[in-house]
Amino acid sequence: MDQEQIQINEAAEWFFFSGGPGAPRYGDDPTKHAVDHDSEAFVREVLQNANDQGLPNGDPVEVAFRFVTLRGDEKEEFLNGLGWDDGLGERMRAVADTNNGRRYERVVERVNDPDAEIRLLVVEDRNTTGLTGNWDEDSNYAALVRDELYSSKQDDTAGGSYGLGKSVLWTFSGASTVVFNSHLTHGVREDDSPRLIARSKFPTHQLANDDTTYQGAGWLCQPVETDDGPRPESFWGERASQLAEQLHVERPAVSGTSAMVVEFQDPTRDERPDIEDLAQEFVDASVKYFWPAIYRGDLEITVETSDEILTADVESVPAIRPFVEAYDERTTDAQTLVDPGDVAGLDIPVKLPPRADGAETPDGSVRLSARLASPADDDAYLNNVALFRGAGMVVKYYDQSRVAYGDRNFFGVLAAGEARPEGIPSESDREVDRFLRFAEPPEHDEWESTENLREQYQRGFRTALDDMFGTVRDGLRHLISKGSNSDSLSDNVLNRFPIHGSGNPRSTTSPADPAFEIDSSSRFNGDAWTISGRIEVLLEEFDGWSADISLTGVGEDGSRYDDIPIDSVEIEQSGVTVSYDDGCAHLVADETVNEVSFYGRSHSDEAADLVHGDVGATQLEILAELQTTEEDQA
Amino acid sequence: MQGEATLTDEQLNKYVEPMPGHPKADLDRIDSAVQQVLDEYQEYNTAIDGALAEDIHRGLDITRRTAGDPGLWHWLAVVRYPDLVRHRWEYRSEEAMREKFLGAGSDLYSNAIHRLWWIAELTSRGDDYSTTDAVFANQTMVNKVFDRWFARYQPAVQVMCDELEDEKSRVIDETTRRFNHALTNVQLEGLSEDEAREIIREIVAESQ
Repeated sequence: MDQEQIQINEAAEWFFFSGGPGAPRYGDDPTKHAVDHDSEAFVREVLQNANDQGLPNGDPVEVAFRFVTLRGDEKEEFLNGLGWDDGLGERMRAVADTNNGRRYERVVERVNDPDAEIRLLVVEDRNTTGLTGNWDEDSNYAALVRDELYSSKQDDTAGGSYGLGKSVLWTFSGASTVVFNSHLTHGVREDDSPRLIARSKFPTHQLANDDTTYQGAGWLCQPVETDDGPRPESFWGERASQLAEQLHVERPAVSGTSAMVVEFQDPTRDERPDIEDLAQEFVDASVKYFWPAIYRGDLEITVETSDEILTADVESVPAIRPFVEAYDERTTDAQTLVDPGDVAGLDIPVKLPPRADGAETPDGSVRLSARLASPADDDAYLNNVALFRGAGMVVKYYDQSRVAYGDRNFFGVLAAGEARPEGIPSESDREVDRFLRFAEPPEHDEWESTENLREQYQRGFRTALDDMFGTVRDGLRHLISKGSNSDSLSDNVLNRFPIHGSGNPRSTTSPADPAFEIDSSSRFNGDAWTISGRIEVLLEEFDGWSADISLTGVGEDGSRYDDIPIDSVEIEQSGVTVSYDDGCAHLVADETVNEVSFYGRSHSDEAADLVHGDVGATQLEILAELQTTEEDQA
Repeated sequence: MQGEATLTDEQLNKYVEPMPGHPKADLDRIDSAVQQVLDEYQEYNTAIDGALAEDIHRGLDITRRTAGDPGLWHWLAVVRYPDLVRHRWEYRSEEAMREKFLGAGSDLYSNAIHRLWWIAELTSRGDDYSTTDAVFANQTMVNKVFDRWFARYQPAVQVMCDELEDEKSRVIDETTRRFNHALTNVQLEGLSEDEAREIIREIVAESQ
C-alpha cells in the first residue's frame, strides 16, 4: 500500500447517525421483507433499476454481473479498504449480539477465518444516469444512498415507481453493506467522477463503552459538517478511483453505477452455491424477465466469473425462444393457428379512465399474439402469456393452460404500451404504458388495481383492467380454437363418454335430415332393467316403419359386450306388433302410426351384484328404419 | 411396413427429435437380446415376447412419463429394431402392421416394443420378473388383460395376473370381461390391492 492510499483510508471513516434517547429502534431493515428474495428476484430488481436509468441516447443499457472471490492477502487488502478495522468490524460484532444478529455473526467468523473466502458481486451498469445529485435534494444519489422506499424516477415508462427494488442489494449482502462507485452523466460533475460511497443497513445498535444509540444506516464516507449537522459525503475523483480499485469495484469511465454487494448470499438458501451455478441462474433469470428489452436491443447483459463471461441473449434460454418468435411475428394478419410454430395475433382494445385531474385519455389497444407449440419446444412456460410493456421487462407469465386443450398448446405474448408497435409509439400506447406502470404493485409482478392507480386515475381503472384481461382470455381462445381440422376434441370426448341412462338417440339418417325423433331412458330397479321411450316419425309420407330395441352391457373402456335380454315391451298404440328375437325387441308399425311410446323390462337377474360385473353401465340402443313410397330406406 | 423399403438416415432425420429429460438406456443389452431372439426363435413365435420383455425393461431406464412419449417407441420400432417387429409379427394388413410400428402413447397394447416394456413395468416387482414371464407364457392373458383400460392400474393388474395365472382361457376371458363391466360401478383407483383381489377372486369363482 502506498503512502497516498493510507491517507485516503485514514480520511475515510464509518459514520452513523445517533438516534438520541427515545428514538425509534429498528430490529432490521423493513424493506428486506417487502419482496421475495430468491436470486431470480434479485436479478429482476437489479436489472429493472438499471433499465430505468438508461440514458435517452438510443444506445443500449449494459449491465455486467461480476462475481469476485477473495482469499488471503487480497481479502485482507479488501477489508482494509472497507474500513473493517476502522469501525465496520466493531459495528458488526455489536449487531451480531442483537436479536437478528445470526447472519452477521457468520460474516464476522468468515472474515476472521484465514481459510474462508468472501464473495463479492459487482453489478456494473453502463449508459445509465449514474448517481447524480446531492444528499439534501431529490436525486438518484439521495434515493439510493440516503432514502428508504423512496423513488426519484419521474419517467412515465420506468419500470419501478416505489424505490423498493434497490433494497435487494442489501438483502443479498451477508454484511448488509453495499459499495457504490458511479461515473456521472456528461455535464453533471462529470469531471469529478468517479464518485464512491458505501452504505450499510444494520439494526439499531450500541457499542461497548458507549451509551449512544446508533441508527442502523451507516456510510463509509468523508463526514462533513453543515448548518444542519453532520452529513456523509462521498469520495470523488482520484481518491474514489483508488479506493474503488482496492474494493474491486473499479469501472470504465462511462456513465453509470457499479454496486458491489459485500459477501453475496442468497438469503433463501442454506447452502453456498457454486459460482458457476449462480452465474447460470443469473443468465436464466435475466433472459426470463428481460428478453423483450434484450431482443429490442435496449439491454445487454453479461455475467462474469473468474473463468468465463456468459452473455444473456434470447437464444441462450430455450424456454424463452417460442415467446420471442410470438413477439417477433406479433403483427401478423393471421388469426388461425394450424401447424406447430404458427403465430397468430389480435388487437385487444383497452379503454382507460380519465386521469385524476380530469384529462381525457385516448382509447388504445394492446397486441396479443400466440404461437402454437410443437413437441420440440421447451415447455417450461407452456400455455403462459408473457405480459410486458415498454420497459421490456416481463411482468409475469400469465398461466392460461385452461385455454389450451388437446395438442393445442401455445406460448402467448401480450405486448402492451410502448412495446406494442414496431415503430414510434402512439399517444395511446404511451398512456397505456403509464396506466399499466401504475397498475404494478411494488414487486412489479402483476397488473392489478393499486393505490397508485387510484391516485393517478378517475374511477374505472379496475374495470379497465378486468375488461382487458377478459378480452385477452377470449382472444386467446379464439386464436387457439381455430384449427383447420373439424375433428375437434369435444367430439372425441363426447364419443368416449356416452351419457349413461339417457340412451343414445341415433336416427339412421344424417342429422341434417332426421327421419325420427327418439327419446329413451333405462335404469336398474334392483333385479332388472326397466326401459322406456318414444319414437316419432318426422316425415309426412311413409308406408310403415320398424325399430329394433336392444340393451347392451358396456365395459369401463366403452367396449360393448353381451346383450341383456329384453323380457317384454308394452306399446300403448294400436297398429304396432312386437316380436322378440335373441333378447332384442322388434317393433313393426303400419302407415297409420307416426308415434309410439313403449315401456319394457329385462329378465330379472337375482344374482345381480354391482361389483362382480353382473350389472354395470348399459346402453339402450334403438335402430329405427322407415319405408317410404319410393321404396328407399331412410 | 413389409420391409420392402429401407429408410436412410437422411430420410429419417427430419422426423427425429431429442427426448426431453435425457432418458438413459442400455441399448447394447437390448441389441444383444434382440439378436439372440432373431437367431433362436422362429418367425411369428409368440414366445419371443417373454424372451425379450425383461431385457427391454431393464435396458430402458426411463420413467413412466417418458414411456408415455410415443416418439421413443416409434424410434425403437421403426429405426432401431424394425427387423424384430417383422420377425415377431406376420404382415397381415397395412393397418395391423402400422399399429405394431406406430402404436404407443396411451395405447399400451399396440406398439411391438412399447407393450413389452409396459407389461414388464406393470407386472415386475423390483428384480422379480416371474409374473411377467407367467403372463407372456399365456397369450390369452396378454390379450385379455393388457388390451383393457384397467391394465394401467398396477395393483389391479398384479392381482389379476396372480389369480388368473393357471386358469383356462375361458375363465380368463369371462373374468376380465366381467371385471371391466364392474368397473363402470366401482372406481378402480379407489380399490386397494386387497380389495381388488377379493373382487377378482369372487368373479373367478363365479366364472368357473
